[in-house]
Amino acid sequence: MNLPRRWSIGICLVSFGVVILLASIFFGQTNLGGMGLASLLIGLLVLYVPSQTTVEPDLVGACALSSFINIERFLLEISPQSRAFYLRVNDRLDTPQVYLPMSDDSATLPSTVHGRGSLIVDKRDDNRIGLILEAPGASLLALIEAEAAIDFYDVERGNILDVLRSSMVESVEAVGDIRGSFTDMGLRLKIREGPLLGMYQSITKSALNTARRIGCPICSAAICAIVKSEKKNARVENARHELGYHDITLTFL
Amino acid sequence: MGYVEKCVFFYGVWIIFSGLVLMYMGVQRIEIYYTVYLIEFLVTAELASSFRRRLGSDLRPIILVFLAGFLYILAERVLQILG
Repeated sequence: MNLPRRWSIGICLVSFGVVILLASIFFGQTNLGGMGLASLLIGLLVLYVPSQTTVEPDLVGACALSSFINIERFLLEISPQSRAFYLRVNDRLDTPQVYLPMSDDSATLPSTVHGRGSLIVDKRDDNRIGLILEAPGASLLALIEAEAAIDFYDVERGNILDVLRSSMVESVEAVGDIRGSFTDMGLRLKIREGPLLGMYQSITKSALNTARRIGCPICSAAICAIVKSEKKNARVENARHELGYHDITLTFL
Repeated sequence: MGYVEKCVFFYGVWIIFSGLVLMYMGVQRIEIYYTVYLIEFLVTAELASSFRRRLGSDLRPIILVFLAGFLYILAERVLQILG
C-alpha cells in the first residue's frame, strides 16, 4: 500500500469514527459509539504503524551492484570454476564462512589446512590452496536471527525448513516462500522471490558466476542457516537463479 | 499485503467483530468497548512482535497511549464510585 493511499484510508477511517462517536453521543446511542471507536482506532493504526521509510529494491541493488561485479571479476580471475564449500560453524558466535578452492580439481575440502589470513594451504599438498571468505549472506542471516529472536545453531533438522520459512518469509519478508527436501546426501531448496525481486535479478544477471557458485545473498543466507543448524560442511552443487526462483542443491560432507 | 498490513487488517476485523458482538449483547458503556479493544490490541501486538522483534518497539508508543486512555477510564470510574 503506497503512502498517499494509506493516508487517505487512515483519514477516512478516523473521520468516520469521529463522526459516529459524536453522533452516538448526540443521539445517546452508546453501542453505536463502540463501532465509531473501532473505526477511529483502526484509522489511527493505519496512519501510524506503516509509517517507516521504505527503500526501493532497485535502489539497494544499484548500491550493491558494482561491488558484486568487482567480486565476480576477482573470483573469475583466481578460481574460475571450482565449487564453494560452506564451512561448519563450531560456535554460535562464529560468522559463517565459505571456502573457495583455487584449483578446479578440488572436489573435497583439504583435511589439514594452514591458514594465512584469508588464504589457506593444504599442508600435504602446497598446490591445493583456496580462499576463506565470509559468506555473502552472513550479515543477512545475523539480521534474520536478531529480528526473529532465534539462533539456527539450536534448530534441529526436523524444524529447520519451518523455522527458515517463518524467519525469512514472515520476520524479514526477504523472500516470498521457501520449500525444500532433504536427500540422502544433502538438501534441495527452492526459494521464491519476494519484495527484493528487482534487486536480485540485477545482481544475479551481472555476477552470474558468483551467484551460481557461492550463491546470491539470499541463497547464501539460507545455506548459512542450514549449515549452522546441521553443524556439517556443505558443498554447493548448484545455485540456479531463474525467473523469480532460487534453486539450490547442497551436499553435506 | 505486507506483514504489518496483515496484522492491522487482522486487528481491524477482530475489533469490528467483537464490537458487533458487544452491540448485539446490548452493552451501553463505551469504556467496556475500549477495554475489549485494548486487550485485543495487546494480544495482536504480542503475537505480531513474536515474529518480528522490531515491531514490538515500534508499537510501544501506541500501547502507552492506549494504556493512558485506560488509566483515565479507570480513574474516572474510581472517582465515580468514591463520589
